[in-house]
Amino acid sequence: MTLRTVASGPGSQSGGSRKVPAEKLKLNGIWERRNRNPLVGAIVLVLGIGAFYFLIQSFLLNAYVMIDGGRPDLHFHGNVQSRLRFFYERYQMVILIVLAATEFGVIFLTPILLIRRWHTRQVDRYLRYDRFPVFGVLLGAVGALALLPSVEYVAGVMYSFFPALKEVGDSTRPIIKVHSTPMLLLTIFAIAVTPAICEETLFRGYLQRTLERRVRAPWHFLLSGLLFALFHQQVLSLPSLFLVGIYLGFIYTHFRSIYPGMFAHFSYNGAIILLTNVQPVASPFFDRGDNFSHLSLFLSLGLFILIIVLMFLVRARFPGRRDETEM
Amino acid sequence: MDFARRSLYIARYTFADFFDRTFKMIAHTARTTFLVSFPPYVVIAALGATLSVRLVHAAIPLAIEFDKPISSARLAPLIGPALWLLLLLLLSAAVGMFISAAVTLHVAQISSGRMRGSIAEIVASTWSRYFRPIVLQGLLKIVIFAGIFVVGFAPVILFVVLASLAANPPVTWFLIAAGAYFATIALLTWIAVLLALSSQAIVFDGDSVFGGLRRSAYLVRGNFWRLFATILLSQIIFSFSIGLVTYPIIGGAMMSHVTDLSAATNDYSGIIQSTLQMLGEAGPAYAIAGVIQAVLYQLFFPVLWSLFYIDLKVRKRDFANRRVRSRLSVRRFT
Repeated sequence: MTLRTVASGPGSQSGGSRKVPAEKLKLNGIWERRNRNPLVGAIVLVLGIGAFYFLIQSFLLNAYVMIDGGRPDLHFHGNVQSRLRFFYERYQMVILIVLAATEFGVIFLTPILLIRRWHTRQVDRYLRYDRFPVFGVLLGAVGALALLPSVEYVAGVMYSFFPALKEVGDSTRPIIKVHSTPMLLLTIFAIAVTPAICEETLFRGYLQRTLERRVRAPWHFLLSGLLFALFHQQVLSLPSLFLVGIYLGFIYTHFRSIYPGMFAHFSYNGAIILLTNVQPVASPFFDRGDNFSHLSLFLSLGLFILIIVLMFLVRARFPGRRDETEM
Repeated sequence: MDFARRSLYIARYTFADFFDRTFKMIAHTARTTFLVSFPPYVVIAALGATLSVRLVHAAIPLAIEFDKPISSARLAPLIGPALWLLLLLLLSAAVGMFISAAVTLHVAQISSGRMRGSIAEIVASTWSRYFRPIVLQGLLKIVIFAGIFVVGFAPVILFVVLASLAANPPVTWFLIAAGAYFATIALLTWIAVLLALSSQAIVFDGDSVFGGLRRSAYLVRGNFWRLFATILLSQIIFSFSIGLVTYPIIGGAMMSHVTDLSAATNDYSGIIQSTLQMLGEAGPAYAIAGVIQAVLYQLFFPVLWSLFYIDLKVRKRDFANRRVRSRLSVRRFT
């Protein structure tokens, strides 16, 4: 097996004066051999994972729904919206469990296992699990919350072009509507915690990390953001998810750690769950419905720009360790 | 340099090599594939979308009054567009075969050492030397598959008809029907994989129609599961990737024309009518998505199959680069 040790960039300073020794990442997997492009491996793996994720998920859900739906006492009535609402209310728990299980089983475990064989045994270093920038995590999470109204505004603009999809979107809302504490915990785990860990590992930790080795900024986080948005297969949310994907990719590159993106993703999805369930309390400042507050939009945009400026200031003060080696 | 170029493609491939070399080769052939495939597919897709919209508009009255008896007078407006669509389907199959042969020829040139091929020359060579045998071979394959399909599915249809007529059909009838169904699917899959590389044999080795089929079967024997797994995996990944790109286009176009979903889906007549209307209104989006899908297919699969052909020939110690070069008039490495 070819062993290739990649020298890191110059050792940089942390905290102003302390020298950090140069890091070395041993890239010796099958996709790191001579004449092979690791980017091809990353793209094939991400697309393959996506295909199998949706196949397994739809197989499990359809099997359960077919078994349950065949019961003689169960009748579906009404138009598409009422059927959708009935479906999501009845199968909410099953959908959430299948979602979490397939995300961990396919989206999280597969890259972890394959990176060892395909790229390096230092999986935590490759995915950037090895450092935890406290400022980055805080700023990333606040930035995601500040981005939320702008993203909702973009989604609102899309609603105006696709009135039918708005009705469909409203009908699918029961999936994150909770009526008990156990369901709240399950929803937070499946919708906020699981994607934050699994999707960040795949899209930022693996895909974007590999893209960074061959593609210059901003293209690597634009590409990973685009794939992240497309993977969600939601026509209406495509532009807004693209914006979120770009933001998550940016903070992953900026802080050279996966944790700010994870916490940002968790905060973003958690806020959506919260807003869906406690709308009357939140409405004076932020309304997810038709009464969109432009004041909240401008305030949040201002806050978001401030967060980005702070991120650059923090990075200038604490540059951290560099291990980007292959550009 | 010459050796590196030759050895890169003429080799026994591992799983990683396949995808890596496929993407590298696509970087070489992309321009040719795009120029050869994009113009005809745009014309075919535009015609197809127009005819589909006409067909859907002709079908809407039938759908609204679906409980009335079907007569020849009611079906008459459908026949014209349906026949034109069938003709267009055959034309698009022939165009697909031509493009696939042209891309295969380009791959053969590159793998044998000629990196810069002329598109005009590739098109002319494909038309004069390979198009006719490949189309004939394609027709022969269609006849073989149709024959198996008819013979294999006859018991399925027979037992389903018998079961529907009988008052209390025995379970064995359904078991026989299911067995025949799965056996036919397995047989069709086996033959499809066995003959998958027959058009590559025509381009790479100048084989005849039957010679190509024989050589494909010879190469695949002993490597069936490798080829089957690669084709299956590639198809799954490709279909998913295409879906990612085309889903927003088609979904957006279909849904943008529905203004009131509640009214459209309140009863069966409304559902059928609004579904047909959505399909009809999304005609241009289907055309765009179809062109994207067809061009990406031609970018990827002819290259993958050609590289598989090289790999299997190397494995069977049957690859004579000098012979391929002399057939393709590749005198020196460029």
